[in-house]
Amino acid sequence: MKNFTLATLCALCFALALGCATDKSADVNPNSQTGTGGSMARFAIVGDVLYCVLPDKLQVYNIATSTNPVSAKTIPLTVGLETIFPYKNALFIGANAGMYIFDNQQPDSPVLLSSYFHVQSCDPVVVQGNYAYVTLRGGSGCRRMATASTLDVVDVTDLKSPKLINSQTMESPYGLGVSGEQLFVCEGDRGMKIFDIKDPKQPQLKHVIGDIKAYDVIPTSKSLIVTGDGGLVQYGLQDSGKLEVLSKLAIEL
Amino acid sequence: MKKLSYIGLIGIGLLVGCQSGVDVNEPPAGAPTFSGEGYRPIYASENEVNQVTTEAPQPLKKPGKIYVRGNYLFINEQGKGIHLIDNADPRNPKKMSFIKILGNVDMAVKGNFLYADNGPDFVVLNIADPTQVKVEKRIKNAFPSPAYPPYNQTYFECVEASKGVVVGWEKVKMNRPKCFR
Repeated sequence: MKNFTLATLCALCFALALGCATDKSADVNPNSQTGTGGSMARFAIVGDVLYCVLPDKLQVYNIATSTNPVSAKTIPLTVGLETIFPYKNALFIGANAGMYIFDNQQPDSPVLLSSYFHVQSCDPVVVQGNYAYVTLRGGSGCRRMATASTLDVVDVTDLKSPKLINSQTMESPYGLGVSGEQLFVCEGDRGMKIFDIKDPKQPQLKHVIGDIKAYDVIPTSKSLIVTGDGGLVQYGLQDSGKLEVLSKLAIEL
Repeated sequence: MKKLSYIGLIGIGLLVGCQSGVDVNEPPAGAPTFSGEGYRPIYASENEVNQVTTEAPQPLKKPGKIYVRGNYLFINEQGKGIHLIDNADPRNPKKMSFIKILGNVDMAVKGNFLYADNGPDFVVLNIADPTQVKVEKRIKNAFPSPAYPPYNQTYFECVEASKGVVVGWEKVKMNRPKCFR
């Protein structure tokens, strides 16, 4: 009986590790053993493996025994690594020099498929379907060359050959999140922008929530969680497509 | 011994690219003029870093990254620890506890285990009882100690290893510091 439960659990974990092939990439399954971080995360868990993005390397820990992480692999990369986003059988690593894509079908031994250096990126990446959405924050806080901030769409149909297909100007973008036909982009002190991505190649700006400070966002099945210097706000999605404030955890100084 | 720490200090100075030997009134090449505010390292002793404790819920002051697992919501308090929130009802999130983890920035959760950075250390915490979190494992020096703040184009006080472990940075008024990045 115990074995059966264990086997069922393992099967479940395996299914979850495969990412369930759902299009709601950042959606959170309430029964999942593993959680979801925002797009700014440096840690990510896939199955029995924990990835830690350090400034100059990807450190892979095996956590099959939860209480005893064992270093499985260390992959040195260039400096300036910032974020990690696992999607299906791949890892997307955002760095201030670009983006790396790894195959992680063998989770404890990821293999570098491509690196994308067409842009001097600084910020995170999220993926849904065949498209990666990347925010690039210009200005002094991020890159030495004060260039424009953009939201870029990168076609990752071929993970070995990512292609930039769309770029639009942003103000001061930080984290972002994608869920179904909506893309949420945090603009720091300038709030959060909501894009329609019915056509995933061409995000169309629909709403701007200007009365919050937005640094990172996690779309879940129950709420859209946004965090920033003003605190944490959760929104529910109305049928009209507009967001309704469900609750706030404000900053107390 | 004294000589050794001296050499160490010079090493750190070189690592972060301190502008020593340069006229302190001249900004480094390509750098903006110093505004009067810079970043100062927040130090803690190794002993303080090792003290991971569960405390009563605390106010959000400087929230950082967030993480969701099931009905739990985790909010990093930059450099200080993690707010553990019961978010079963997103209309009424309830703070359950605050886990004090000095130097914390990142986290991930699997089952009842929370993986977090604790300054230079990597810790595994058992959160089965959110009001009594237990350290299951500590891996010393898994992460590089920060030699500079997590921003570019900033002036900051150079890190002095003799003062302890850097667990955060605060932006304060200061005379123009030696370090810039």
